[in-house]
Amino acid sequence: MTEPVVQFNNVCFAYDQEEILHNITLTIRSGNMVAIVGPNGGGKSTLLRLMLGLITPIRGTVTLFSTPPEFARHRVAYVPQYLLFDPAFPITALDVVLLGRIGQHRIGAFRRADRAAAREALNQVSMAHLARRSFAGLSGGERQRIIIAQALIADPDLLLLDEPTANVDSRIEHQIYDLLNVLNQRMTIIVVSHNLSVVTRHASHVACVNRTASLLPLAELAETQRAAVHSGDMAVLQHELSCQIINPTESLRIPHHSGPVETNR
Amino acid sequence: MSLFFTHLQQYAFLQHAVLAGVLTAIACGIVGSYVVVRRSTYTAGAIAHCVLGGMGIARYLHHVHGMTWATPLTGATLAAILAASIIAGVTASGKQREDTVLSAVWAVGMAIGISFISITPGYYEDLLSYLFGNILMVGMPALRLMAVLDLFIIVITILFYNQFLAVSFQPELARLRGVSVQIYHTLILLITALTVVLLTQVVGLILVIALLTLPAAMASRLVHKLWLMMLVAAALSLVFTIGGIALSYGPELPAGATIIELTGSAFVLLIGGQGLYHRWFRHARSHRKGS
Repeated sequence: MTEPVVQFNNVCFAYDQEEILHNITLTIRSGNMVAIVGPNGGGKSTLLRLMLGLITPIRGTVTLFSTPPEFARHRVAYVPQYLLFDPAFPITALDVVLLGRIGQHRIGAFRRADRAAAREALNQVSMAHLARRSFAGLSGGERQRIIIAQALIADPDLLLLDEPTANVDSRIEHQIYDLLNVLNQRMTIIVVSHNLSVVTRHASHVACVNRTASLLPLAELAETQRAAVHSGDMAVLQHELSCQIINPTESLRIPHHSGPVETNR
Repeated sequence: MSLFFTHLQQYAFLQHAVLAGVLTAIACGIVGSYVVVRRSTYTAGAIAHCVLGGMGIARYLHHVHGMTWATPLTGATLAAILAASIIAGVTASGKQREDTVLSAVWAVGMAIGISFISITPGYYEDLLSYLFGNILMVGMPALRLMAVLDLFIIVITILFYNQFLAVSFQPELARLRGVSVQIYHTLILLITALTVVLLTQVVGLILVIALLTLPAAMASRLVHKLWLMMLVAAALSLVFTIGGIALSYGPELPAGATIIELTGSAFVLLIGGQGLYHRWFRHARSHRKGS
């Protein structure tokens, strides 16, 4: 068994009174490429934010590389859902990428090595020709790839992406997922997506999140499920996966904890 | 205009005014750019108006208690730093609505200023110069303080340019990469406060917002890098400040108001000109396509 990268142990999370995630226990291991799927509002983005330690669970523990998430952030890069950027902000694509290294220099300008790394990252996402262009003037798909490049120059061991292809056409979408497969050879990848047919073609594991969640290796899917995957039939697949992974109504009835409550707050 | 240039060679007060224009333009370009890209004009406005409280208290201490160190400029500087700290502290706690707190700082600061000015014996003319500034009255001690504040702003900006860029553009990324959003947010507020104090000397506290935002807003329409925006904004505000002094000098108009009118006209011209250019450009292109 390879090293566990992300571990959720009986995690519950709620904004105010409303519980978003209930009793989540799962382990994502080094080298996995996990697709997180599920309905809107099911808690997919919340799951990522818990992994980053941007929010803390009300019950249970989350660990990243076997430590609390706050202490392992330098090993993680995060590509947020379509960014709420100020479209008038004066910044070039290259400068956006360079910000990925902001944690490495406490003071002063970026070094020559940083610029070289930024150009290399832009090459990887096929955006080198746009380096000097204003970030605001780029299309949604171009901006998305710039932000992926920004994640790459931090040289992470774990890459988290929240709907990275929400604003791009299917050609770019395939390019991005092909790139993720290449990157997966050197880092663990967790990607939230609404497009089942594409992610399941590229991922090693799938997690269907809808208040509850568990992880399933795609290789173990039954023939009917795989057919559903490849036809991209959302309804059939969701049914198949949720039956196999969890019975939502049943799991929601499980009480929070029987034993003493552990939290990492 | 020509009278201004003849007198500029003869009179020290005019030379001081021009020097004050140069010093404020530097701060204005740098900090104005941050205020514009971070959309924090209202914060700058609150600090600017709160400064009246500091000026009022300083004037009272000076005249009634004979504390000679308490000049309007030192009072303004302390009040601006205090206002910035309050705003930073309240926004950090995240428990209050930001604009409500800004309004309170804005109004309470002014109220304190008005009370202290009214209980201080003497003429009210000072009040007008606080509200509308008087660049022709800037003396050597004020110029020295302005130079020190400028130097501080420049050094801070050079050291933390990237951190400021990160917390302004992508605060969540900054947080994940271990950059303290709170510390840099507070530092930006601090240099904003110092710049507001500099600018009140030139155009007074009511007109500060215009000089802080309009040159930077114009620069943002012309260039796509933050540091370039700062340079262009500084150059523009220098032109408007000196231009405003020169235009107002002959007909004895108020310099601060003339500077703002000049800046405002240039802003409208730029926006209008760009609008016309784009419309004409699109029209020409669609015409070519059509034929």
